[in-house]
Amino acid sequence: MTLDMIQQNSNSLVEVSQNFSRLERDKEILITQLEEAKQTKKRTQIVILSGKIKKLDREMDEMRVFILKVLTNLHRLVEEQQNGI
Amino acid sequence: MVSNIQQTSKRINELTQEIKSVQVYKERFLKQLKELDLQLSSGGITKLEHRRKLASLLKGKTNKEALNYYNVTLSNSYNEIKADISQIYKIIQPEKSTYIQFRGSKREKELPKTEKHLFAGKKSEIQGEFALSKEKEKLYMAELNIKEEDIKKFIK
Repeated sequence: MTLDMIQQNSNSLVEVSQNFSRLERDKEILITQLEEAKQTKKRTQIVILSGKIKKLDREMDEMRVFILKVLTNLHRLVEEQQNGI
Repeated sequence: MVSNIQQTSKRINELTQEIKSVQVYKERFLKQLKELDLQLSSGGITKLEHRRKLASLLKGKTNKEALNYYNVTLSNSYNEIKADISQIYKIIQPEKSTYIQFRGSKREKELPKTEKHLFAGKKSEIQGEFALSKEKEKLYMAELNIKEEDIKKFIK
């Protein structure tokens, strides 16, 4: 039963971490674009890109909280199962 | 830099599957031991047959050594999962926003509206499709049987 729960948490972790990594990659692209905009001093673009990055940061923070919760649960289940060996 | 939490999560998943397999082998081993003892005590097999079958099952090891092999394998996998959990935990700790310029500043407000449309609908535009809503998070939490007190224990 606990092993099934570990498996379930682990599957969720894989799913969420894939999405998180995707956001990280998107953020990298935006940062590159922002750097280019800074070099060419395109103020409008800088503002827009900064806004997008800020929005992405908020989304990533939400996702971090969820990942932390899954990790916490997973850790508890693993401890529980390991103590029962 | 893009972190490797995806890779580490996959490793946790693999380890979980390995644990399940080892657990099945361990239970099968214990069941076979019990059955042999039962057969001996009920007179189903002779002492000699019991010894022969036991030797075949243990492959030169003692009961304790054989069982210990499974337990050590399981424990190592659990330890590896815990190490991976710590690794992800360190990586995903919230960070400050990368770079915000002109945020809420007079300059931002003064931007001409005509310029803003130039950047709308660009390929790089990020939508919130991967972010979890509070409702979805609650749903996942309930599905995964996550309790707030467990989180407090883990996050100091």
